[in-house]
Amino acid sequence: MEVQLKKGILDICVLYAISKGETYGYKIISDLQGTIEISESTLYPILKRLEVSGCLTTRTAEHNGRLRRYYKINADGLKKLKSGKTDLLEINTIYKKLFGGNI
Amino acid sequence: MTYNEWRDELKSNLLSVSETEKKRVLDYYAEAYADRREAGFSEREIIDGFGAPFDAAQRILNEEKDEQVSNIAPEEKNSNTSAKKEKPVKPKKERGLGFVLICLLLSLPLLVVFIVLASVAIAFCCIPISAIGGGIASIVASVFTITGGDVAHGFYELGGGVISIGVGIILLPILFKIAALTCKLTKKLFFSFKERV
Repeated sequence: MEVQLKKGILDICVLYAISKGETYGYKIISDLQGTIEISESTLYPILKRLEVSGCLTTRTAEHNGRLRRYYKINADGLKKLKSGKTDLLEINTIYKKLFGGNI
Repeated sequence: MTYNEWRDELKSNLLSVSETEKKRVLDYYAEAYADRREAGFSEREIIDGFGAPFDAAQRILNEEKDEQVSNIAPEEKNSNTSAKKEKPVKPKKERGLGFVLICLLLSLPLLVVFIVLASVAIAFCCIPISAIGGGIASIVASVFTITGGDVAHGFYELGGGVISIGVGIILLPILFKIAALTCKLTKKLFFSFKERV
């Protein structure tokens, strides 16, 4: 898949996983398993990008005697997710027109 | 490769990243590792999942670069664009021999640093090799000394030779590791300078 396109789709997928409720890195990967291939090394830059762009809020809490970072979607994140869904629909429409059927 | 080795290699590939960001990255991977261990994965499975430390570092560095580009204010971007429109880009001038010679002269102190680091690496390799070589020579010489009749002196040489070989064998992996690290450091220094230039 083209890098920029995959980057955009991964952002939407991660935002979607976080939109279900406050979550953490490993859970995001587990939730997206079977939907899109994503590893810890791919997830880190995405989470950082989303946090820097103000789509997420983070907090650190203790879990089993160690620290774990939790991510929560905010209003800007929800807005970005909505716009991402529209983009995916547009891509699907283009695909339908070109090749027929859904993606 | 163990997790600690993987983490160290990742860290060594993040030289240009700020200490805060480096800590954040390492905390992230420590958390990911602990979570996967809790989920029942083996160390090897987790490391395989993380991928090569170099690739993980490259992703982080690429993201940093993208972030820096997107942080440029739109006005600045526009002014850059308009400036480009007003002034067509001049073709690069051919750099003369004089310029190259001056650059070479100015880079001499840097060359000295690289030569010193390379010498240190070679010296570290030479210590155990010379200890083992000296030990073998001493043992061979002791045989001649003993057969020559000077038994006490011969055994003294034999003992010295065995000790020298033993010390050499013990030091060999440690000093080779230090030499390898020195080579790695020199390589990194060289490439970081090359990138800046």
